[in-house]
Amino acid sequence: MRYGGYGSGYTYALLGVTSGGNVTVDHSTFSHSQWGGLHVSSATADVAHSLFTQNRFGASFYGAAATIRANSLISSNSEYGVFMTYTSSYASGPGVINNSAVVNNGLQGVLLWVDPGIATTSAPRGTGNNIYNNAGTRHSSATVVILRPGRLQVPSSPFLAVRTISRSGAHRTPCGTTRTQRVGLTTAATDRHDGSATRPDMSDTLA
Amino acid sequence: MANSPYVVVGTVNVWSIATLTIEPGVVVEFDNPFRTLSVGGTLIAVGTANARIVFTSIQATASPETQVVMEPQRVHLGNGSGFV
Repeated sequence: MRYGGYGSGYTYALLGVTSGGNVTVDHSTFSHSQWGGLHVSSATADVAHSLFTQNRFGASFYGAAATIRANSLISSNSEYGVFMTYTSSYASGPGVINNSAVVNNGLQGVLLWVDPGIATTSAPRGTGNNIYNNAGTRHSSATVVILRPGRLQVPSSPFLAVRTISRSGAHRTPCGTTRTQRVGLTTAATDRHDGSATRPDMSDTLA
Repeated sequence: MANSPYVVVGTVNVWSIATLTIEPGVVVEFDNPFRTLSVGGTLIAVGTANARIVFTSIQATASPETQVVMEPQRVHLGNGSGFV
């Protein structure tokens, strides 16, 4: 039985950081939540050297200047590893995953719902990550991406799991299936989806 | 740390005026799916490589004879730093 993190959906977690909140987490473990390990909404968070495992979701960010970094591991959660949602009105710091691993999750490793109108400086980003062996059905793994408002690059990797939110808030289809979304995507070239991925060059994801 | 594990038996709020510091090695357990540690203020949870901080289900590490119950809004931080 998984305990903790009451709520309806990804917005709940063992640790929920709400509007104006600020958390610093280092060398910590979040496990066995019915929902998420960590949820950050309109708040800030810095997470390093931490483990998210055996939750439904590892971590979720909603309009949050939140960072997961420094060899953190998001592994063996039953659904998403990391779930980020950002609307066009969001203007603070981005959601970031750097130098971490997202592996063996039940759905997408990293799922992004991002409004195409978001400012570049606020768009989610990541670099130096290992993301593989995630088992989403349609997009079986995910690569951390840089979003480039105003451009569309169909992802070269079929394992990129990204969804966007229209200005009305309605969810649209994943990027890569339509050319109407004004979101550009880049992928980590070394994500082989076989467990053998090595850390991509820093330049790979910070183009 | 001395009284760890702490068991969350209700939703615990760290209000905007408060700072909650969790020491290395502390285990925070949630007693059922209806619990969360909600932070609107500041939370500092900095463990070490040898003394990680753990947020988990009570089922994972329960040791009932050593548990300290963290009831909602009743943990005083002292020195005027606010309430949890």
